[in-house]
Amino acid sequence: MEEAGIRNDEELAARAAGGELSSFEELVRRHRQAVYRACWAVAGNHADADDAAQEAFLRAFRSLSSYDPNRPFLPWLRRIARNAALDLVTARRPIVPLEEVADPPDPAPGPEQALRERQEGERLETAVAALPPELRETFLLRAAEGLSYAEIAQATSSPLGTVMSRLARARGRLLEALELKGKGGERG
Amino acid sequence: MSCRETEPLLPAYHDGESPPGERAQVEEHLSTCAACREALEGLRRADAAAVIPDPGPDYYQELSRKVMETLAEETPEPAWIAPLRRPPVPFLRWGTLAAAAMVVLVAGGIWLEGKGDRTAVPTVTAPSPVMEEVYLGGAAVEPGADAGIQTLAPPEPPPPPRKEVDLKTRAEAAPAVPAIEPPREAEEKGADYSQAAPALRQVPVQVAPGPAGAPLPPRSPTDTYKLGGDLRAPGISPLIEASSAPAPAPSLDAALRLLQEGKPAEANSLATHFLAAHPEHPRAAEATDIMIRARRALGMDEIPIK
Repeated sequence: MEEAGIRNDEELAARAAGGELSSFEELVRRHRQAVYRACWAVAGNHADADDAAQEAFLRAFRSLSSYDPNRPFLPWLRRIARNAALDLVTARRPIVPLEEVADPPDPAPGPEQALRERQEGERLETAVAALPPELRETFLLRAAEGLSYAEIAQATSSPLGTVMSRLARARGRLLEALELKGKGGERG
Repeated sequence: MSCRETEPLLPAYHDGESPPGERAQVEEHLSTCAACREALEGLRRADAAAVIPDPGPDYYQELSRKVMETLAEETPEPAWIAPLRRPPVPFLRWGTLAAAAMVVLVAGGIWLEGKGDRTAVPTVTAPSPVMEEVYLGGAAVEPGADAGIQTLAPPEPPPPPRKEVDLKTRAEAAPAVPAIEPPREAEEKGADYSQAAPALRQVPVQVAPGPAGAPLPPRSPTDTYKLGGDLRAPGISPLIEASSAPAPAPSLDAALRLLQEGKPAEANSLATHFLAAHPEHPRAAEATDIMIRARRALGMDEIPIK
């Protein structure tokens, strides 16, 4: 239940659109984590996610006049964050194809389970970083943020089929990285 | 179910997005099939890589600070706030300033009266249309003009070159706005296609006849932003939007038939298979639509239509 005096996002956004900076500050406070994480999902690293998150809030503030307070604020803000991050990563560097990502150095051979798991974790991290932004974003929104297919479709302005297909491709690439660089096992 | 039938359903099962009936079928198959259990385990292994590092609370405070600082620099204060922010000024100083202003005004008025030249009046603020015309024409101020005009008028910007007219002409001759603005850009403008080019606003009407040829229901300007992302607006069938000349896909036709016959679980299963096998098929949107309608009929999650 909302306490009296605490405004909801949409009301704050309407006030911020009227020039009330303190209302926008409250919106930033409430959603900075979601915005940062949405940006990280696209950018795949802190420095770019940080820049994109700042840019996203600035863009959101400048676009408030066209925000419709009858619609939920957070999905609108998430879309802006995603676009800011996509613009930034597109401008900053080309996408590195998965095949070109260097293998992590092979440590001394050891059969220990812990070592294998650590190696697998490192490979996966590298593979996630090498995913194209759209695939990484969909994958992280699902697997790290726990969004449903429907929510991802809304956040990325994509049809449900595209979400499922991106998710399948992202997971496929990650598994491929594991299998190619790991033991090269085959699945039944 | 066979492995071939089960494998495409595993991601939705893994993500908790399977309809109840399908879930039970998948579980039944998993209980007897080691290969599919391994495939499911693969999905779990992949998801273990999904980590977004937490930068910590200090970072988030810093993020807020940087954003608000930038906005404060960008956003000019309303005119009436500025005096309130200034430190209090002693009354004597206000009085002094007011008296000085009064002297200047009165003296200036007397002087102008004395000159008896009415042309001085409109020169105090913005240039009049007449003056603009003179500037655009590149002509100098008339030599006989009153010197008072030049001294009292605020410094004028350099006369706009005649190019301004050329620019306008060029703008008129410029090609029309691109027909389709990328959805992302429209989102940045507040997720509202009403900001976009008129041609874009017409897109849903032009390409999406309603089901069975019925006229489209009116969409509010705020609805249009879902174009390209949301195929579930009431009355608009993505089936028809996506494929005016449908590509052959017998299993999809069967799914549609099953849906119409009131068998949503079977329809959903067929459509899911189809989509998993052919994610880039021209009729993929149609498969999605069937899935959505079937899932709706089964009382499952559906994409919220805001």
